[in-house]
Amino acid sequence: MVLGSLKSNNFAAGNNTIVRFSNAHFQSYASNSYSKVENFCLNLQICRGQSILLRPSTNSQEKALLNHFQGIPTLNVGSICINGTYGWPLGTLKVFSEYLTIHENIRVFRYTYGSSVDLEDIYSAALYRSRLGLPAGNVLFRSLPRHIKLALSIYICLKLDFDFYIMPSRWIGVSLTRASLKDSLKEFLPILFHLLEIRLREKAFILFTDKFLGYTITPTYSQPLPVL
Amino acid sequence: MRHFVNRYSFLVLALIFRTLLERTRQSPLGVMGLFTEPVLTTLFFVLAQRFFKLSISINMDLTLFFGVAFVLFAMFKRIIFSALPPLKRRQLALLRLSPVRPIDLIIVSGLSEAVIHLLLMMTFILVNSICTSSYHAEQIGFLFLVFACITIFTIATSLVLFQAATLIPQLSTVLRILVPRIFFWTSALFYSTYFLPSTIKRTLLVNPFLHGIELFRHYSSPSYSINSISLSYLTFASLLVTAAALYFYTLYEPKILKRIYFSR
Repeated sequence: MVLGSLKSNNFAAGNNTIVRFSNAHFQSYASNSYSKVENFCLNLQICRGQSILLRPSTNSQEKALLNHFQGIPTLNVGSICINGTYGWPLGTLKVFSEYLTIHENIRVFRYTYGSSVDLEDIYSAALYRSRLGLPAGNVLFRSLPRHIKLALSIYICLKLDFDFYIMPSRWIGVSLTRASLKDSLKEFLPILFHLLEIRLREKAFILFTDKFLGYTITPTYSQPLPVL
Repeated sequence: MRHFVNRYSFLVLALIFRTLLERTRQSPLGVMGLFTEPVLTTLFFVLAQRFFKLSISINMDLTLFFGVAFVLFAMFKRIIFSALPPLKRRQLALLRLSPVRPIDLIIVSGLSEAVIHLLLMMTFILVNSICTSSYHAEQIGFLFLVFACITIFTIATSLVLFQAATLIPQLSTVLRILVPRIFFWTSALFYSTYFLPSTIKRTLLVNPFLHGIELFRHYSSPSYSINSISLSYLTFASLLVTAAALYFYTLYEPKILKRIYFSR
């Protein structure tokens, strides 16, 4: 596991810690088999306005961390202190219901997370919406093309105003083999990340990747952590 | 505490809204699609009773006698089936939303079914009372109370079964076959406990769902006689099963989450 930070987000990090991994020994599974176990250790502190790049050496390490954020316990020893709210991993589509409209999906998320942000603020009022070319809110989610769905998943999560965001890069098409989808996403991602930059002045961001579209990544800390 | 209850009720209501809308849109019949299965099941048994000219010497309209029981049983069956096999792919996706736990999905499935069947039950009783002009509206509070107890009991049972099926996956199919059949024969769906021999009756009265059905019949038609049927037993059993289900869920939640994730 290698840590780094995004070059474009060198905002001041105060003492306002959002996530702290203290000697956290994770248990990850080499494949989908329940028995194959691999252990790794992580010490990490994320403050408001900070962006952290995690480069898991294996897919299972990434999965273990993501699972922990989704409530699946993967911690063996150590502690994790989470002092903030977080949404779904940016880019995931599964949380959306295909049979609901965009507005209905947003309403479900708003009540699920207890967000006080207005529905109109989340979707309609944005300058970004027109720039992103997003459709009207009363369109069924299933009728949208995949790249717009991905953009919506990122956009709505950013707008719901969480304390920190998690993004596995493979979920937003960086490692996808479909060239057409990659090209479509290239139009959206710079605008979405502009929005993300604004958010990140007061929020935190964890990114799981080793490559990233349109962004130069300079690892500031590249010492591999001990693996048990 | 109040804040937590508010947040949780919003979460459950949002998920119920989502489930009902999804089901409505998936069905070619729209809103009517929600009621198709329970209506057809009830209609089948009511028509069978008419066709075979079954008669039981009870002080109750036979259509209401069968209808009430089969609507409640349809609800019971649907809630149990929603927990077995443990969770469907569509439901698993919701676990990516951080406040949602597996128990919420079971509760939401149960409450969605309860809403549908409550509407169906009310419509059925209303139509029946208009046709026969024999309904006593002063008992409606008890009807809601019994319905609530049955819903709580059913959701708690489904939570217990969900845990068993998640921790021991081989049990899933067995439970799916056995549980509805056991309850079908022991819940007085097509007979009245009043006329049962005391030896059989004593055994069957252990089943709280039987108490629920008999009480529902009694409160929807007060001339219907019940003997040894108790609302307090139904309430006590519902709370006991709920407490047990929640206790075991608290104990096994980490294991359940791991099992759910790795059985995908």
